[in-house]
Amino acid sequence: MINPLIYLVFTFFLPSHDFHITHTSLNYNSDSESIEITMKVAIEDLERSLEVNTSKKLRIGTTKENKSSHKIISNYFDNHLKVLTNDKPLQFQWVGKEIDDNLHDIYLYFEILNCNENGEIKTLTLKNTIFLEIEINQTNIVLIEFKDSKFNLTFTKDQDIQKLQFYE
Amino acid sequence: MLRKFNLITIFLCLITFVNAQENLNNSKFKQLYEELPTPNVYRTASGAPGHEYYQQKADYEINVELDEENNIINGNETIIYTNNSPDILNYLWIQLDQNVRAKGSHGQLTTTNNMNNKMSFGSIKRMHDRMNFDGGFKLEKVTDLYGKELLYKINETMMRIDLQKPLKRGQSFSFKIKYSYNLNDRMKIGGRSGYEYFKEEENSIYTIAQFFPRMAVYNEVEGWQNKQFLGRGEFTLPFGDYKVSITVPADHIVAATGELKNPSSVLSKKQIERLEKAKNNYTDPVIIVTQEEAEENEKTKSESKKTWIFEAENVRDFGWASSRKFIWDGMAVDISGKNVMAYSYYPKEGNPLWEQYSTRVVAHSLKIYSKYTIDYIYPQATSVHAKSIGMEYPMICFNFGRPEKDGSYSKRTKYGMIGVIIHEVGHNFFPMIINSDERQWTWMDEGLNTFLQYLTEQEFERNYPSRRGPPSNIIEYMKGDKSGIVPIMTNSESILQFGNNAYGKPATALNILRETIMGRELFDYSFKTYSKRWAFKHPTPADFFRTMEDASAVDLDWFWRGWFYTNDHVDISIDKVNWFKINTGNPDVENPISKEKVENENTYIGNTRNKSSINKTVTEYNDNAIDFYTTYDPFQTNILDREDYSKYLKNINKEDEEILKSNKNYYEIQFSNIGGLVMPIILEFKYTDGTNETIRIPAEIWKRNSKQIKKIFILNKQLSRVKLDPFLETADVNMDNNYWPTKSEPTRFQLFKQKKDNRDNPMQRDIKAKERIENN
Repeated sequence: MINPLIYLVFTFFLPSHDFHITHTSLNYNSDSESIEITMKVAIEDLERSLEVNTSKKLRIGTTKENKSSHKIISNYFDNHLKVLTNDKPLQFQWVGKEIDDNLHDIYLYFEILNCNENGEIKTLTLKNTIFLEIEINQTNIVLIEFKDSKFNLTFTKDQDIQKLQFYE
Repeated sequence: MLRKFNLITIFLCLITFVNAQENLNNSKFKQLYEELPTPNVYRTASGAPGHEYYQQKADYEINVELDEENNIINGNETIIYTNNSPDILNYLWIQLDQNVRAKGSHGQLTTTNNMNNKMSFGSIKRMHDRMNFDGGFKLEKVTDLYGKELLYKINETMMRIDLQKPLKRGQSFSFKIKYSYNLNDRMKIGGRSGYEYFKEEENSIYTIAQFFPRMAVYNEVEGWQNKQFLGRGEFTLPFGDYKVSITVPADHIVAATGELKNPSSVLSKKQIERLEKAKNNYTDPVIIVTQEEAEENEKTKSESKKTWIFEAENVRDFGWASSRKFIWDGMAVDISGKNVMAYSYYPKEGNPLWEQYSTRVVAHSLKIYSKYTIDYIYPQATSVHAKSIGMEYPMICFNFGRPEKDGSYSKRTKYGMIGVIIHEVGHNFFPMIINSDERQWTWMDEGLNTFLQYLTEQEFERNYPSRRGPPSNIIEYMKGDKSGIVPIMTNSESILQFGNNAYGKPATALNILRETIMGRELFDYSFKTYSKRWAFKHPTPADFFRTMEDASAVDLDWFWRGWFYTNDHVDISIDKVNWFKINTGNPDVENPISKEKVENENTYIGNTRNKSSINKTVTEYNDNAIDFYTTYDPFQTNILDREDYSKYLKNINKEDEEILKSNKNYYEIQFSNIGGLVMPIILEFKYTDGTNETIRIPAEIWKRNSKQIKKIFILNKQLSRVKLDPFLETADVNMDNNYWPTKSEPTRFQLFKQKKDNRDNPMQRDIKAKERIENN
């Protein structure tokens, strides 16, 4: 048996990347009845995670970038960010990616089309396990803007599923 | 919508306030008397050291040997500790930092973690490696100078030595420690120091630090700063002089804190010549150990040993690096007429990046930091290549940045490397010279240093892609879930979101002070004053807060309170804009305006339709149906109206008359503070004639009501648009409520989708473009 207590993360002082956080914002666009997802993640974490999961090197932003990097990234997030409305899982589509001006992070864009549930979205459930498999102290912050409400959620290893109820 | 009002009313409502009745003073402008310690003879209310300020001194003579075969450090040190405090010391506390890597240490036990069923094999392996590694100090002997054993007690990472005779003010006590410890493989176990093993050629790069038992700080703030080392809160160390002899395999090249005292016994004649050449070259680095020499060196392993002797004065620590893989270059830097050396040590794996940038960046950092703080007075500064970390020691730091095996590298690798070198070299100033307590306050060195890193990056290259500094970069953090955000004034071990909290937010806060609140001139003078006052001393947060005010005459208590003592964010909104003009009373002016207003009002649809559908009314086709009231125009001015107006004018004084005739526009704008942090209000007025104007109102506008305020602006022209925080300088997290008329900013998602082509890889595109040209 592995004793999970004795574990020490030493990467604290400014390593190439000093702490592990992702930011996701989920906007419900009532005009197009779609959910727009913007995700900001550290390129280093993304590459490391995908290398662990798929044994493929992405080399994002270099001349040798993996040609199917979009697919690889898309597949990963299909498995690590689940969005459900009224307990029904939704499929999201790849929109694109964009390296942040700081060169450290990358923005990933996804979109879920046709998800108004006949105007009756009663619950929104999120399961966020992004990079939890490589980083024990990973924190994933999700900002949800749904119609006029805003929700600010934090996902960690201890809490990777959260459900929102909407009352009319 | 335009409203008219009479002259008397405007001056009554300049600022209205809805003051909630509270029993306590919760004002955001309340002075920090309760938060800051009472000034005393050691630390003054101005933020300067007091007349009784003292600090302890710890001098070291260390002989250390690297056992390369077994990856063990063997050491033998003499510590000369001088008590400059007025207190009598009965015992001394010594830091045994490596004990954090001892089996079952508190550092390990107090790290919270858990398992999940989807852990990668790699992270489980890492966990095993860490648990099984025995990296604590093994003390062989703790004796006085004559070899007599001393009584001591080890409590985790701290060791107490009991003194037989109390140590009084001005007295010194010398003692010796013989010790060893196992070096950690950084790539397996992690760590600020250790070694990186290169499998192909069976060689390592050793980056060695915390390698000797070190004196803890004793002062009037903490007593003994013997807070245990748990891994995150870094170090607190007294100043002293060091003489360190480092014995390594004879074919190693050694980099270290201080100056090399025996070059002739460790370097070749050629290398010494090149070193002398480097000392006179101020423009480009001179290669002292070439790549060919390093590659040749790697092929064999010397059986014999050499001892490198380094000396350093007035430093708070000592670090070194050793490898037969090292290429070495250096150049001279002119710091106010004094020659300082910038050095870099790196393996072939660091090239071509390192030979082009490392030493140049070291030199640049020394110049810029010296400009904003104090002249760098150590003889040299060194950057050593160390994969995936950035870590600082006096005069030497370990930095990441490794190209691909074929020598190509991404933009991110390049700027990441330049950024980390600036940062770690910058640590020479904070905390190595301006020696704050890192164990207690991470932000005091990381935050101040990250701020200067930003300024240095921007002077390295225009629009350098800095990660931290500009207010817009901190917004994502500031608007996040408050349960994940703690104030900057939080002990290092309890900080959540370490990088944002201790690096990003304080660096941004200082940038806002400099650009928006104090202005560059007052800020730079105050920041330099702080640096001068506390160079080679131990400052606390209060000393910094107080000095910044003391040297600038800007009351900053509200800023420290909001940005450093709370986790509030900035979100100010424009609630509404009301437009007024003065009723001049002049019937020739007012009547046409009133008429136009009535005519422009929306009319009932029936009336509009009647205009065309009723051909003629009775009064229109029959003149006999007309009387006075039929033709009376209420907006027509007659002689009596004009006489009334003349009388009115005679009764008012000259100043009032001028106001009457000025034809100004009065705009009453209401603002709400949603985020909690009070900030200056910066407005961009756009007028109907197309011109612009910027208005800057200090944060004190919130002094009586920090939630909602109104302000009247008297303008010659009419407004067509108002924008709050137009230059993105306050870190306002929500720009949607910053416009009048209301306007929503498109989200990042929408902006991205609008772009026709998503070029996320300019380098690839550039190559494709070149191929196209070649093919044509």
